[in-house]
Amino acid sequence: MNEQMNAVVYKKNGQFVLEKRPVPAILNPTDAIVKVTLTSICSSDIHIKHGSVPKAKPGIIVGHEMVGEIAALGRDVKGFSIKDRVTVNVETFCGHCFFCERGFVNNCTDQDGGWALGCRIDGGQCEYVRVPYAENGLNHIPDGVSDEQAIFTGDILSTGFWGAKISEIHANKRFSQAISCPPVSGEQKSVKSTLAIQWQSSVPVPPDSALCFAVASIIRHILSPLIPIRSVLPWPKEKEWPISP
Amino acid sequence: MADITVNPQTENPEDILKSLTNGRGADVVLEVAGGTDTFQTAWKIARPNAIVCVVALYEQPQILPLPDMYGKNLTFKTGGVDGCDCDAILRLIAQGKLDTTSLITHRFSLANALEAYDLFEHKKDHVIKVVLKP
Repeated sequence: MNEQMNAVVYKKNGQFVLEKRPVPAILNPTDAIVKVTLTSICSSDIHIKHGSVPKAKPGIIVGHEMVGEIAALGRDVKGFSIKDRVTVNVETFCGHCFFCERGFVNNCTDQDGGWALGCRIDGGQCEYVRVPYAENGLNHIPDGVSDEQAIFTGDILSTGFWGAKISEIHANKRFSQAISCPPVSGEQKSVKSTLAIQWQSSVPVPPDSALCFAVASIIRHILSPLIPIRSVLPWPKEKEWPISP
Repeated sequence: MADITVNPQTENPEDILKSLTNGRGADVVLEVAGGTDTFQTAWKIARPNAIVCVVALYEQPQILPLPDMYGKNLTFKTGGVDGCDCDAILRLIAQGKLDTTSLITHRFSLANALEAYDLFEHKKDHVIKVVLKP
């Protein structure tokens, strides 16, 4: 392993820099070190840069969406081997606190719990990242799935999946509701669930279009083809996009 | 990914939603954008008793105009992802049911990360998502 690596660092409010940083080492037996093979920039990184994420600590390496290969494993991490290809979850969770036991891992009470990577502890816009509670935070990339196919798993696709789940968009449930309704215009097929995904502000502030797309993809998958679904995605014509600030 | 698209700069999302739903509004609204007026549109386009799910991260506090929405009986759900479904997502990707590779519009080496940030932050060149390769 190299001693030093390139890293994108949140220096202070309004400033990100590219710096040389030491390659991280295992600190706890539940840690893994992942050699980053692909990482993304998220609009949350821009929020950090602008000081809109109060928990973000100046001096940390940013980046919370990445895939890579396991370079080192703590002695308590089970189910993973060196060189395994993995996605890294945006959230760190201990798996046994009050919230984790209920699946509310965003509020894991561990000091590294929730959105820690690239916010409160060093993240993945670098060459190697230390992942606490690696057994919970890493997932194997199936054979035949490329880094570019897997890259959004840990953050925007997870957000889409979760958003669809908490919105109670479960195909079976909504389907039964839909068919138990009286036909609106005399025909069963006219009873439709309508799903709206808001896309863009009418005020010219560009949103995180990738997140919108990811949420739409998940919902599309969960619902179709079980129920007739109309999704409403405000999407400006190409020449009107993007809107420069 | 969408059956219908609406551009709120030239169209009224509330009217379009009503026209699609026999005047009711949307059963479920997911507010993902986090723009300055998107929260207001989100609850307005919802039908009574709908779920409005606020996934977005805002830079400013938002106003909940309770007198205006009284009787609409909405359920709001908010927050940051409880991310523990990665294996299910990876299975969908492996099965070819979920493909988000088209979101990647720009690729940079990690060494050029600041150039990538400039492009992403200022929404240059129709960027959607930027990836960095160490």
